[in-house]
Amino acid sequence: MTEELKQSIERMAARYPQRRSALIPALHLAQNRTGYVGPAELEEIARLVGVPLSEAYGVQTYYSMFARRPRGKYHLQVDTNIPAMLAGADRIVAHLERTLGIRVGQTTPDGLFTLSTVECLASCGTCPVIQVGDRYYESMTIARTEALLASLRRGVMPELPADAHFGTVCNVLLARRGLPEATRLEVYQKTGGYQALRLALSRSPAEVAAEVKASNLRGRGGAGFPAGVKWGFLAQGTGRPVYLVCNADEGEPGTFKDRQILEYDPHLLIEGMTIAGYAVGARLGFIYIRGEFAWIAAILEKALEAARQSGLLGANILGRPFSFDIIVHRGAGSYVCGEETALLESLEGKRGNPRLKPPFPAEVGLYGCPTVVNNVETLALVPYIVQHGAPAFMRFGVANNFGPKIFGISGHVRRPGPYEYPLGTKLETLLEAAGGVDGQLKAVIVGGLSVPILTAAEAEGLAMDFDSCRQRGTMLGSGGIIVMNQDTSIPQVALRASRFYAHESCGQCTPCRQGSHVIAKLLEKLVAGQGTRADIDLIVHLCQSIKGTTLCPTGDAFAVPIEAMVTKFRGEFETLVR
Amino acid sequence: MRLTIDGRVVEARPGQTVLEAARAAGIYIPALCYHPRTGKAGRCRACVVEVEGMRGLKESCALPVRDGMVVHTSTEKVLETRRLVVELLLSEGHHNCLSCQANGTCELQDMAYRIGVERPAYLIESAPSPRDTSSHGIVRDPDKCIQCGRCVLACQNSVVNEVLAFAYRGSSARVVCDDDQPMGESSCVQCGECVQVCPVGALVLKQPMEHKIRPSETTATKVTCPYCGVGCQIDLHTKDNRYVFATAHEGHWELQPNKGMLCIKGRFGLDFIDAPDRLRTPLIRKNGELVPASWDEALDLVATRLQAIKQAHGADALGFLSSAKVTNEENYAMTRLARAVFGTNNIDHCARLCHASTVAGLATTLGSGAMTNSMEDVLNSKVIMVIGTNTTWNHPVLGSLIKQAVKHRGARLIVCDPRRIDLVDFADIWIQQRNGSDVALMCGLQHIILREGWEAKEYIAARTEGFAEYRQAVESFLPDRVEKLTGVPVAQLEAAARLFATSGVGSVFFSMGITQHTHGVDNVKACTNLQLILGNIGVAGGGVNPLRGQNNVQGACDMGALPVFFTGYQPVTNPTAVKKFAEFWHAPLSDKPGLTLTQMIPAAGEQIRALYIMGENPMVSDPNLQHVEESLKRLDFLVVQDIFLTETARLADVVLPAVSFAEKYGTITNTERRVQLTNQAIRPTGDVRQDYEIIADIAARFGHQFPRTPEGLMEEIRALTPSYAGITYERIREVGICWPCPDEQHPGTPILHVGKFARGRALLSALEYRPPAEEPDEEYELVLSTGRLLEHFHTGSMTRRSAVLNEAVRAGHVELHPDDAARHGVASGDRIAIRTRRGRIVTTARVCDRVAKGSIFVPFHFAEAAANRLTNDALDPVAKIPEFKVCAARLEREGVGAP
Repeated sequence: MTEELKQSIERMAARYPQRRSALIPALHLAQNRTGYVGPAELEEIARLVGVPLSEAYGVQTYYSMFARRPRGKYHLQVDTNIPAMLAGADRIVAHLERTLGIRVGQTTPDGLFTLSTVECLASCGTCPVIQVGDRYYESMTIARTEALLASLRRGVMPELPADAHFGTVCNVLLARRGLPEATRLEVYQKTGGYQALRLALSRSPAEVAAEVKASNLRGRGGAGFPAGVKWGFLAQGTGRPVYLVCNADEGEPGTFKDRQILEYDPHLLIEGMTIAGYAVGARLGFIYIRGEFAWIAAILEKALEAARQSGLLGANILGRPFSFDIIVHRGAGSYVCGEETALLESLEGKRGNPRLKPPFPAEVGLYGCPTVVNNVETLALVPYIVQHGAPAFMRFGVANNFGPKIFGISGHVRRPGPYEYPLGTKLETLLEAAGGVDGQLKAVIVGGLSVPILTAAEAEGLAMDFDSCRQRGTMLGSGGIIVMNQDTSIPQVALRASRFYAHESCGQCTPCRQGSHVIAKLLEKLVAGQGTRADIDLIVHLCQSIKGTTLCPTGDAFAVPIEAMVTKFRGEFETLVR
Repeated sequence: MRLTIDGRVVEARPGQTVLEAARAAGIYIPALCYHPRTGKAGRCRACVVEVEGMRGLKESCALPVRDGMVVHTSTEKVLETRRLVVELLLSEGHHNCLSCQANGTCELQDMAYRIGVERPAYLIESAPSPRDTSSHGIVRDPDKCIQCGRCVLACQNSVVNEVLAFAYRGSSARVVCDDDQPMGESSCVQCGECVQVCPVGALVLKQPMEHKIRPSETTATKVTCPYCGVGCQIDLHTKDNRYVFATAHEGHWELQPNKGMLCIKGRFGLDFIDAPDRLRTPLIRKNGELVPASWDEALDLVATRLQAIKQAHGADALGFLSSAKVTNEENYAMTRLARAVFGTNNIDHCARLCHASTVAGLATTLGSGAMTNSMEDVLNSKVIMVIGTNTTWNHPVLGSLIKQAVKHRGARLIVCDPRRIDLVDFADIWIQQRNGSDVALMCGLQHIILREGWEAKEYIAARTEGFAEYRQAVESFLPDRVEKLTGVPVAQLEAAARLFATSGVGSVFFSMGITQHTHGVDNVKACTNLQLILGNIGVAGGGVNPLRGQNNVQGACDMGALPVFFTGYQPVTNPTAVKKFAEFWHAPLSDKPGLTLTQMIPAAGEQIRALYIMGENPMVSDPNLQHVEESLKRLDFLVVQDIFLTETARLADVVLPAVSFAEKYGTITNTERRVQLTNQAIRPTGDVRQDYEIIADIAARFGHQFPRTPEGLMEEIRALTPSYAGITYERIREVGICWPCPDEQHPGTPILHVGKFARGRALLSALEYRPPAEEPDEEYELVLSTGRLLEHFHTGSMTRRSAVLNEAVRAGHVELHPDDAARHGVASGDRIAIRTRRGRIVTTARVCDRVAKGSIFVPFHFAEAAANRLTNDALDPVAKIPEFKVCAARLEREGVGAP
């Protein structure tokens, strides 16, 4: 290990309240140099960070992005999850296998290309997407793929801008989405940024918290739990520091809304976090961002530095006795780390295993200290609430479901992308905004892959808010809308979905670890034409038994949707039976 | 508080979980990943229940009880979940009970049986995982693993060896060693804790499996481990009166000294019991050869010869070496034999070689020569100093408790050792002082503490004496001077002093590195001084804690197997004591202090004409073996009582075959003064006798009627020894008691000197630095130190007859620094000779960074390359303990300069 790398790791370790948190960042740092971290280097990293070798190995092998052996110069990672699959990702994979002469998982003999398939990269509105190294290449077609390969063969990472669409009627979260250089502090301030922070600091933390509570802001991570109430659960007077953590893991297939804020309006999040930190008494915040968003992490770091330089972050913000700073912490490829306690484990430098609850993070969270974990979109709404007040915020949306929401629309629509509308907007309005369904609507998943699928009939007249979706037998979740037309094979969707959960299962508890695996195997059998009617019954039986039995919601996240797919489209499954 | 489970009202304590309350009430709730020692995990989902007023299923292993809670363990959803769990676990892997070692003790099997699952409902094809048989004692079978995670938690959190962890993810997740190495090639030290907690057959003991004996076929008897002074409580599993395997005793595990843990020696090293060369008949030397004889013949000869020598040369021409490996009852019997029957105080035992400095040093300064705090009390320390003890090798379970204190309780750790011992990895500071410079080091730290005013002034004023003279002596240990003497940089001395003095209550643990020096008593006093000025004695989390090596060396001392004490440290020079014992034993007694064993052996052939040695092996354990051999050969008569024909027994005129620890019962006292019962697990075979029987038989030949049962002997001990008076077999049947225990209502004394010291006020000692007796020079330029390994024990008479331990470490070696190795052109594995002024051995080089440059280290377990051929028999003037820890040596090529 070079001295320079050692110093980098040392600097990294010094940032965190506990040294061990530097383990995943250290693995990234080391892997950036050679594309992998071998046994000797891992031992050194373990020693430097201060963890046993066995635990370091456990961490390295838990996260998808880490490699123990060398890979090709260009690692072509093709997203084949549902939204990408609906956009034709499988054809891209087949083309690459043919052209490069290798199968998925292999490296070309000249050492130039390694081909992998990966899970949802949060590019659902711009897929198919291929990640090469740290960069995303989106809106891929066969032609663009060929262009990409040609460029890479010349040793050049090309510029291939995505064909992106978006829309907003609220102009709160996506206000700056199309604005050039919106990530720059000057632009943000010129368009009204950081006024909310000034206002917040002129009030007491309790007043700020009360405003957020009064707004009934429901968490945008998927659960819809009122943020103000969550803040109120924080244990006070424990003598331990309070931490604010922003969940920017965005791994739910069909979801790409947080990315819009992180990538295009980072200061909106930073301002929101700073205000939230003020309200809850935190001195240090973390943005836990999914590992694949490497370039977005860089955007955030740049924005944070600009904020610090202007006295908007760091010690004595805006000349007040309030100090708050933010650490950007990259994950390394794990869907389950989007669950708040798994996220905290990961932040602490461990495997992304969800924790038993109670205790809840508000009492025992990061490093055992009281912690609030909020979604990106939730925190990004805080400046608006503080600046314009709860009543103004509540003019968006419907009763008990207030505020703007970014709906990420993907699949068989003509203009997939993020669309910001008030909660409670009708689904058909959103589909219209996205250019309308491409073909005949067959089914739709309205809240990210982990919510029950709806048939076209069930989706009629659906209002997109937490309560209406629940009444309709599904959930709003993350608001990731995946549209499926008549050509979609639901068994293929179910199979791909089950493989996703089996791949992402952390492995702690029996029903999820074994159950997701068994269900995936059974669906494989069926789709391959080797299955029986009893297999279908078994899938349904397993889904029903697994519901409610797992350590974390991931069990329900696959059991409930897959049961819905199989029961609502049973006919399609039966035609596959031998 | 009360809660209702399935309609039954159940009593519970605050802090209990629903699972614990249910189990205490005999209500069945399966739990595959929860274990009382490793705690809740929530992984298996087998223990879920439904609770009124709470949504969904709850893990009962993690759910705290609340008054009025209403729990249902048999709802449809709960039962469905249990079945789901079992069927999912059976769906993959190879869960075939037919040939499984755990058949009959498997928790998954139990659960499947209870639920009525006869065969897997669905099976997933998966490539079989090979069994890992690379470890000497443990077999891993990943296809049987149910991923409960108990082994990982045990390895990471209980024993803190940190070898096992989960790797990979989802259904590919599995338990690995280090970075997925075979267990036998990993950093695993084979403590076996993983096997102990595994609910299924994924981790099993190898030897019983090879002998085709399942745990379900064996009988378990609770014994005390025969190895070190931790005194682990072991379940010895036997079948047809033969040893099969060992596990940690689970009954009241949280109250036992070992907390349900063992080390490789206790776990795997007890098979010496059945070694083929066990002595099974008395032997008498006839025509230069040891030949079998009858007991009467042997005992008559012993009695006649000892009597003859006594008559010709006086009682003090006889010497008796008692044993730190036999029970208290047997040690007591031996002292009565030496004193009452033969009229001499020439009785001693191997404590002379290890903690004589401790007994002398602590008795003088505190009034009691024993470990002041209990072992588990280390968990209350805010800062721990470990000096001259390689704890994770020689008292591994205590080593684990220290690691627990650091890892889970935030305790700070300072390790002082010339060698890089494994505990250094857990230490905040590692001080690498020169061998033999400990007085300077400790006084140097105290100098800094006094200079900074960190001492506990009120404590010193109220509870100590001698502060003025002490303080004056410490003045001279300025940091620069101490750096020169110890080789420790001033900055480190300052840091260590600050850390130890200002972190809160601190404990000091020491062992041979402190005691085995010509200034061993001073070393001990230096440790005591440190703890006294900081007010760390007589308090929880504090203490001066010497770690006794042998399982019953504390007991042997307590029983007066010492030349200057009767039982309970009553001096033989005290007329009241003499009168008491003389009356009790109906015999006149000598009030003249006897010789120590380190005096008796050199005096053999002169003042000492005969030695009766029980369970000791001075031909390997004593310093300067050349002299030992010459001395023993000069004796007129040598009796050795042992279970093997040891190196010492080979020189004897009479060899008396005794029984092993597993074949006797009685009490054994561990290092924390805990008197524990060991039970008879195996009936002796062959023409062997209990040690106390042999002694009683000899006494009878002189008209003395000794009690012929351990109970009878214990009654005498209790009557004569105030600190043992309250200890009965009944009281210690489940859990031992720490002396002093003056009466049967007294609970025992885990922490000594609370409120006041045994001598009233503690004595601070003015010390000066004295160098070791022999330091390196041009002729012998290396520092030689000797000590022990994890895998073997002392003279190896037991461990070198154990299959697993011998596989683990077959022969000895010398640790060599890479620079010294390079200078001599030596690589690891090379045969190399080591010479000192006493002798020469040939052994194998092991080049490593454990020793400091200029130092070498030789373990003393290996008689064929005996470290003690090299060691210096210079003695501490007060304690008469040899300086095993430092002398001068040089390396030679194997063939050069033959002995």
